Amino acid sequence: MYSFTHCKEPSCPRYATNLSAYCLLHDPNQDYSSALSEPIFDSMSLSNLVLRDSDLSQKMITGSLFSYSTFSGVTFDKTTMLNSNFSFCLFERCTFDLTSIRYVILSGSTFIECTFLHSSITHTNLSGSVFTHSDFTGSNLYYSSFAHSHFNDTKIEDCDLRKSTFLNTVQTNLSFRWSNYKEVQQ
Amino acid sequence: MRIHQHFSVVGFCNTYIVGDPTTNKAILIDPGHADYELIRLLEHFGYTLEAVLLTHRHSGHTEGLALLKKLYDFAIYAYDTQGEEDSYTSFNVSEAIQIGPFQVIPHLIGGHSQDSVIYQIGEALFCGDTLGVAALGTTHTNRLREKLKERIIVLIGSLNAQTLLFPGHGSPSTIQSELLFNQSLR
Repeated sequence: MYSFTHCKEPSCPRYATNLSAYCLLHDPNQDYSSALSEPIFDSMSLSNLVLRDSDLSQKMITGSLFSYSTFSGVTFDKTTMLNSNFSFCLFERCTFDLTSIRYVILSGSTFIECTFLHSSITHTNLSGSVFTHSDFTGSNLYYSSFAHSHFNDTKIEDCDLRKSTFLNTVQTNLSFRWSNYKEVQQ
Repeated sequence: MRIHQHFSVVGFCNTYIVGDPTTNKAILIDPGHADYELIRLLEHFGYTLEAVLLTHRHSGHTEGLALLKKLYDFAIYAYDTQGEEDSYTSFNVSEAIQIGPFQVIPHLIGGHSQDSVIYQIGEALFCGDTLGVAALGTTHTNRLREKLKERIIVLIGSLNAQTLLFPGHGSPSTIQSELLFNQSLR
């Protein structure tokens, strides 16, 4: 599990990374690229990370903190995410195809042109997220929460939606075709 | 501190193991069902089970106790409203208990049941059925619901917004997410 050590910079509300006593904004020269090249991210703390056009496929991400990060053009295909915190992140043109995501906090995040094809996204908190031009086709969304989320031109087709929550969502051109949407809590 | 989740298909309850990687001592919260996977999780990490914490005594959260008692020797902590359970270790509400390397603060919340307790361990809250993602726990009456809401707001309002919430059912969250996206708390 990641630590909750605050950045040493006085009055900085952010968390320090696991590589330094400071957050990424107050110590931007931290070399996190070697840590990100490892196949397993365990208890990694990298809030406010900005990552562009990177390959994080087939990783095992467990007990890690990436809240308030920006991921642009990042591939997460076949990655396993477990018990991690990616809340309030921005994901642009990211792919999460064939991923396994369990007990992950993705709430308050923005997803633009992201795909989650044939993935298992269970017990995952996606409440308050914004999805634009995104695609969940063929995924298992068992017990995941999308409460208060906004969907624009998004596909949730051929998905298992048992025990998933879509309370208070704003849906613009959201397709549930071939999904068991009657089992959803609306 | 490591936090492991186990999902029980009996009652759809989340069981949590909080382990200390240095001493290998562990606390287990809400054993809804003790199955092979749960025992394997404890054994795989070589944990010594110090205590079982019950957020409340509904059967869906306690049925695994019988088997665990046969396998391990541990103390059981639960808020005992009637004082009828001799096998439980008593505690004072809101006073920290030291269990092995863990400092646990039990917060009596009630609402869902008279004995509903939220356990605070470090920057994590184990909420049982008092609070879930974008939802408040179920109550018998509206008056109890208002009391539950009031107590939850007081508790989470006093803690760091990044504190993790681990509910008895569904996905994990943070205080910040619930304050933003949980309409039941408004």
